Amino acid sequence: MIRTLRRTWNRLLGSLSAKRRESDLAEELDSHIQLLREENLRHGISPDEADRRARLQFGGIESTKESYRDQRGLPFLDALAQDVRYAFRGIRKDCGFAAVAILSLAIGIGANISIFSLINSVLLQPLAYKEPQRLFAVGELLPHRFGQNPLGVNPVHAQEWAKQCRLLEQVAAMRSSRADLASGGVPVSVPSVDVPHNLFTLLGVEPILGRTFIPEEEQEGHHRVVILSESLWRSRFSADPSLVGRSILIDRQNYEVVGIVPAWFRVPYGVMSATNTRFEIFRPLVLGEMRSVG
Amino acid sequence: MVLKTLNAMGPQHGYGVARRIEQTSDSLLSINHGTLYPVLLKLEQEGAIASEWGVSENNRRAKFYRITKSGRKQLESEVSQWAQATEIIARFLVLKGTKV
Repeated sequence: MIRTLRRTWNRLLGSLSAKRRESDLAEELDSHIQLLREENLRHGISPDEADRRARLQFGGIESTKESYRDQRGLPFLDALAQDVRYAFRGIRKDCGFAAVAILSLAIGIGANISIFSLINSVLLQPLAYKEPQRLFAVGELLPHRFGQNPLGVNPVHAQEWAKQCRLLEQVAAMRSSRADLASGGVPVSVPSVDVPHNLFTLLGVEPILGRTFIPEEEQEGHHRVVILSESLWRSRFSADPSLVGRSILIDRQNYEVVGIVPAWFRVPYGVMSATNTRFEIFRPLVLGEMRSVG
Repeated sequence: MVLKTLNAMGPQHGYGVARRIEQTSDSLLSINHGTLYPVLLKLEQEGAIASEWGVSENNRRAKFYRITKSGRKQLESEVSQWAQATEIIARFLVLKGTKV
């Protein structure tokens, strides 16, 4: 076992230093033939004949070298190196053709990868929500005014669907905005979304801290509560667990933090308009306000 | 045979080994000297022999091979294996010989 390993290792080294070993081998064999020749000369044979006999006694010099080479290195590695060298010579010789070939390969591979990653994320990977096959994004069409472009949903319609359409288990309308967050450092404007209390249960998202909204918080007067994303909580509030229950200043109003949702959670907002915003602040959707929602 | 030769004669170049094998076998074995070199290489790769450059009797640069410790061990085990093999064969042949 050790013998085989040692031999393989030496053959690997042999593959790497082939040139020097080649001249060593030629010298070694040559010296052997000279010794044979001198012996023949000592027996009183003419120089030409001595030379001929020495070569006969030695056997094929080239075939000896050949089988020696096969044993010295790893033939597979040698052949590979030879092929690579040959390939590079070919590339150097015809740069234009090689450039076109490499470019078309690059474009082909690139296109393949981008198409696959698209198909992978859109078709192959399930949505990161509970029961994604029962989840639909809904838009409204007003063909006489806006053609086939889906519009945001009128919240009153959404409310009516939830009440009357028995095919739908739950309806969750949302509205995006920006929020000016003044607590926890320099004031910043972050993407925010107003959501109904049932959105989190509908999508199967559990808060990592605190709770989600309750129905009462959709009423005017009770709606000054907020849920933060984990990333905002970590970056701005140093992942302070005591933040839940405290008030922070958003849009110059005090909001009580009631929960933190995990960082991976994305609101499927703007599916119809193909926007993909990562919201950091979630506030209850108060349906007293009559505005179009997405 | 190479190991045995090197063990018996000390460091030798390829020519010396080939000659020695021919002499020991009373020229019954006449080998192509060239075939010796792949064998020497294999033994060297296995670590049974080591080589270094020296000067031969005709003042030429020549590679001298010598047996190593692990080469001696290999020689011992191969000698005993060979003895065992020939003994077994011999027993069969004797058995047959008595019956005939």
